Amino acid sequence: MSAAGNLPAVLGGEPAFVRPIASAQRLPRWDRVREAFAAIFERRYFANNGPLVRRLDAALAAACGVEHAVCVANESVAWLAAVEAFEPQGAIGVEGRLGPATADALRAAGLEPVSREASGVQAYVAVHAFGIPCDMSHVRAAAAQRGVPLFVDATQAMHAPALPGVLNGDAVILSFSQATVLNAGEGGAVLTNSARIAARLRTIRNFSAAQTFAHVRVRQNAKMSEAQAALVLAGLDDLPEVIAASRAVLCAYDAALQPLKGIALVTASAQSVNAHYVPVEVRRDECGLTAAELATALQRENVLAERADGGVLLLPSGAGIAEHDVFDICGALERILQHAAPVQAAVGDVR
Amino acid sequence: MGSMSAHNDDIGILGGEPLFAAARPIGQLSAPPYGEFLTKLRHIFEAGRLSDGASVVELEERLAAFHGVPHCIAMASAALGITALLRRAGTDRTEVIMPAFTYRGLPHFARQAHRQPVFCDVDEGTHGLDPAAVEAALGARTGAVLAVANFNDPGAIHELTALAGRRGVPLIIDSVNAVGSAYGGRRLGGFGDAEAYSLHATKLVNGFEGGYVTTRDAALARELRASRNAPVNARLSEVHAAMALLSLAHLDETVARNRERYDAYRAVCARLGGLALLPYRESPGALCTYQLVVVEVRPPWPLTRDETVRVLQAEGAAVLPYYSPPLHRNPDETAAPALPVTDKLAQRYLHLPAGDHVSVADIERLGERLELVQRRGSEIASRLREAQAT
Repeated sequence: MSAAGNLPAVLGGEPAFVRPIASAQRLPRWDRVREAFAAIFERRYFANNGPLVRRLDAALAAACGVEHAVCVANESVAWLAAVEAFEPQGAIGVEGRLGPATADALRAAGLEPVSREASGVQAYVAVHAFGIPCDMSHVRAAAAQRGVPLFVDATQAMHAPALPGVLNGDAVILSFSQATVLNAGEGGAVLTNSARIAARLRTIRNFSAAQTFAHVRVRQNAKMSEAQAALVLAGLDDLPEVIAASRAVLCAYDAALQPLKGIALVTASAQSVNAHYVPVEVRRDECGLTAAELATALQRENVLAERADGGVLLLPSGAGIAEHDVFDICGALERILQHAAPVQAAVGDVR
Repeated sequence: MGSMSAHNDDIGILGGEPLFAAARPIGQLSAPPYGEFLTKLRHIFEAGRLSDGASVVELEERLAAFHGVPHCIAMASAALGITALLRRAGTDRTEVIMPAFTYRGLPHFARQAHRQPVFCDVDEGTHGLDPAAVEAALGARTGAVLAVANFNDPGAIHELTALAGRRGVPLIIDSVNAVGSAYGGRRLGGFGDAEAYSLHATKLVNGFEGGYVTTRDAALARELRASRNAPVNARLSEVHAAMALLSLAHLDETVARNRERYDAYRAVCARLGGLALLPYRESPGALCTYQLVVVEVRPPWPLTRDETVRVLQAEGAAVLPYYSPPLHRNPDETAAPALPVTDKLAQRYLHLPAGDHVSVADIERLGERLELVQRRGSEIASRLREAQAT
């Protein structure tokens, strides 16, 4: 940790980093990607439920311990397809920390997110925010009692090997977007153990007569391309090693944040299934700064933290973040907190 | 349909070997040189961004230049682009006027935007929306007119623009099959409030999957860019954009190969009675892409359109009826208006194998088979109809 008395950059001190440090996109291994695309060009099969999409459907189902995986263009269309497959309308009860992207997609599908305890809900969603499994016992019981579908937001919770109890529910939504541990740029999937729902999903995701397995009301162009499938497959192979490396970084953060007052990893972060995110809660009453003010002060240190809802910051994580970076980042945090009042004045009225 | 004959050298539908062991599709399915793609892919990996990157920005600039418009917004698909455009109408304006003689996705795009499709008849010459029918359908609940520009004719854009303008309703044009076409000497791209195009692998510009919207309206362009992130992710990925850039760079070669194939089909159809190519309009400012090969089936051709589709599918030609069945005939459509021109046109046309998985030699072989079918037409027709009856 830094020597006491050094100023944070926002008050004139040297920035902690010479160049900006941020969460880098996790990229699949280049050799695997090159091999996959050479084969795509050899086959000249680019889209429309190609061999790689079919292989990925099977591989994801196996990796996640479910019967059916239906890959689609991105997580938003995955939500739209999943909701259309079950056809609930009205309110959806939420368990866990619902992110704005999922909330938007649910509303676009015609569902209004409400509290889990609300009456009259037509579906439930359990959110494994930041890869941290939420307690699904209440919401699973509520869905079973009401006879309504349970959706699981695992868009930040891709992992391997399959952890029983985490990926469970009537339909599980995965994301392969650039912010995730299994990054294809864009991509998504819906997992289910129901053959009936899987047939509906495979129908909903395209308009082809040959790929029609059920009668559905509204279909989409939600197909995943061979290019996307190639990138996900290339990243799936070494997912356990990637997660192991991320877990070491997360442990380093946990230790380095302990002495700091008012900033701590979100509860149960150590249980994250992929350790891909480093979410910290910023408690203004204890540290004197809001998450927004802290993010601005960190930016002056060349530490780029992402703001999430509810006073949470995502500290740099993933590929390219080493344990010594963690110590330097937390050192910068310590300096900022030691000078909270002048830092707060310096960054101004930041929301 | 099972084997109808013991002769194994007969045509496919009568039990013989198919002409093509590997199916001959109807879509473009072009591919740039792999080395060029690999270079672009490496640059993407070096930049470290598989989405939200420089390839999408470059693609938008090049497509805007191709269409002669100031704004191009790349999206995950043409479908998401059209849905985003339809979502803009006020919540009390729930109806979207559209043709029923078109791609089966259109009513679904409207429903994704929580709107209701209202089908109108088309003009027999252009195959596009009939302005008189649109005028009759325009009402207080109309939120948009969704016209389709077809490869053979862009449609009555001037009249539709005037009609939509008088009612204060946006005109959106699905130009997916008309890329390169022109209207009034100007390339399509800047007509209506916005136009939508596709980057699907079966289309002229191959981006694996994807789409884009073109417009002259800066405020609309800003809205569409924002709409790519919310409420629904509609972003185009870097790898898709890179593929599309290369496809665009090699467009002239693709069109030249299409022209060769089209000329081969011209020669074939000249020898046949009753299979007539639906022609491209070679008009000023247009780039005729010759991507789609669509023929009209009419007397003296001895089979119906649907029988011809079955005969050709049995030869390994993955032909499909063109814009058929018409969308208002879908049993899910509760309102099924009378659309006599649509019903007539929907019986007439089919797609022949086209694109880069089809060679001129394939077309010549297909032509010979079609001549055989024509010579034995009444025999084949009666055997097909007998089998259908039993």
